[in-house]
Amino acid sequence: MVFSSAVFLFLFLPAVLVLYYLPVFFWNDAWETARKNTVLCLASLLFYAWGEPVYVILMLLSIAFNYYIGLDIGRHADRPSRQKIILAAAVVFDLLILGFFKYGNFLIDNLNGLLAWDIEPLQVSLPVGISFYTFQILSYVVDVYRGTVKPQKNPVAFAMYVTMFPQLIAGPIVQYADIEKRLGKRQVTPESFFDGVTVFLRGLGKKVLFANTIGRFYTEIAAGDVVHASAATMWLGIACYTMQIYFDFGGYSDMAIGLGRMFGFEFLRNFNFPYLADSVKDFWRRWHISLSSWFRDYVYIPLGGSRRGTLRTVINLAVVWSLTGLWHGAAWNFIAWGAFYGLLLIGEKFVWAGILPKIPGWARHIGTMMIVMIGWVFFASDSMGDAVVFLRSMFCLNGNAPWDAAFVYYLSSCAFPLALMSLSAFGICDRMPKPRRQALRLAGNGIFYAVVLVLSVICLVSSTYNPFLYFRF
Amino acid sequence: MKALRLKEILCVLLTVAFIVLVTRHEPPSSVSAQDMAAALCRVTDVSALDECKNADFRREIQLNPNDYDGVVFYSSPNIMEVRELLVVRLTDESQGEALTECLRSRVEEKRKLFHAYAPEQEALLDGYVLENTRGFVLFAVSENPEAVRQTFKETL
Repeated sequence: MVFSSAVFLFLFLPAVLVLYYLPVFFWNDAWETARKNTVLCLASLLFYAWGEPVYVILMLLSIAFNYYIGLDIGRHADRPSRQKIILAAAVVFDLLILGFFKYGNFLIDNLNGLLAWDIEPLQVSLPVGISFYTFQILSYVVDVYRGTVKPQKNPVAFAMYVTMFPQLIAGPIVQYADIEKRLGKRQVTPESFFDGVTVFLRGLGKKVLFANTIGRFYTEIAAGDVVHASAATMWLGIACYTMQIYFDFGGYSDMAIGLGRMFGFEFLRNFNFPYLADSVKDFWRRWHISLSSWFRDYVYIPLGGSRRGTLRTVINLAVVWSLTGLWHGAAWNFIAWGAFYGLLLIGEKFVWAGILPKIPGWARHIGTMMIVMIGWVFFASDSMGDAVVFLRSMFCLNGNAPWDAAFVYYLSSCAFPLALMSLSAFGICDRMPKPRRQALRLAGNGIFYAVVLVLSVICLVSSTYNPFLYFRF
Repeated sequence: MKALRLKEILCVLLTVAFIVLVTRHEPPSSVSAQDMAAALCRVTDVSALDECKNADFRREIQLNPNDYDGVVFYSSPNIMEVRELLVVRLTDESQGEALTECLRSRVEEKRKLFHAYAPEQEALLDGYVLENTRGFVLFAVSENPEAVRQTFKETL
């Protein structure tokens, strides 16, 4: 089930909210949080089972295993070596499951290609959200081992942490330490609830009104004759994708954060105007923050971070960015995408660190945007070969023209939506003056979000199924 | 302590058993989309329909035909003609859900369009065939939905 569907908006979400809050009016006792956790956990399992009826079993088994692992680590607090063995077993088990479903066929394809073997591909599909929930589970067992959080004794609360539907399918990756307290007790005020509603609607608008609209232009350009299309058309196509992926994933994250707030959880921000970045490092501080933070806390720092000399830092960065690429998908274009950023970050840290501050701010912004757009070519393409062809066309290396009539046609069609989206993506909307009186501000917000909801619903009922881009990860 | 260890081992064993089970389900069929469509054309009349190009599929279904292993799509530009035949051989079985969801909403849209004023068309739409199995998605609006369904299963 996707957030931007009529079933979710008009059936699932209202039903869950009623079941979640209605008992509060009848019983105000010590079991309130337990009741809420149970409702949210069951609703999340139904949400997942809607699209993945079989893999809900895998997720439940994974939850059960890691729940017992957490307790086991906690019980061996006086025996660190034993704790280490239990942690290693859990990490190996969780990564094996992720590896089997996500990377099994990629490995088989490469072995068959390299060694001329003939291994049959695995007949399995990728369980939705497995990359996200595996990382959440790993953050829990590692934190229990480190002693930064206590083992969760309540299986329902732990299951709810893993399955919570607002962020189950496509993040943000919520670290256990960030919501541990709210699993036990949380309060929702009318203000925080309606704040959650507005954040959710903002995300819905980003996805339905912006991402879906601009995505059509990229789809059309990419599905055309990429080899002979003009360079300007290809740049315009990838500019459209640049906006699409930001509003698609950013919209999903806003919806998840808004839903979380409606149920009393505070998820950390996942995007902070990434296209305002003036360096690659700055970009990754602003884009998919929950994933970068996870890799920093559970891979980069444990490997030694930047504290063990230049060579070790370079290796650590290379490892982290190859894994970041691989996390996004089992294909060489994703690994190339990760390596591309790894090399640029190593360069920024050790090669051109002294030059960057001397470049004017506007030039740094433009340069970073171009790098990001080139990076999205690897990300958006179906294979490494497709990415190379696309890139060659962007730089007139396929014998294609710099521009043509098709470019003018596409530009005239998408200039307005692109300009409108840029106002939001570059934070210009947020800097616009707002009414000083609170009543006026509230009324303005109310009207604005009501319009967003109505327009989104109109778009939803007149369009076909349109899942989020990050679902495939 | 031992009970906890036993529960962990049980979870691992159940997970392994689950993985063995899901990997042993029927593998995708080796039939091509064209062969499948040819078999289906023998039991449903497509003479009034056009075999659509990729661009038509993209416009009508709003998905990229290049994402799939094979697509055969028979439809008609005539607004009153609701009969259709679509055979898609998936590249990956996980694509099936998105495609079937899309086709379901397509039928709903058409049903609303014909509701109350074109009962014949509405009746045909009510009996639509939508199958997602063994790496194939079949969508058909036909006078012989059962024959289409049966032939599809036999050809797989």
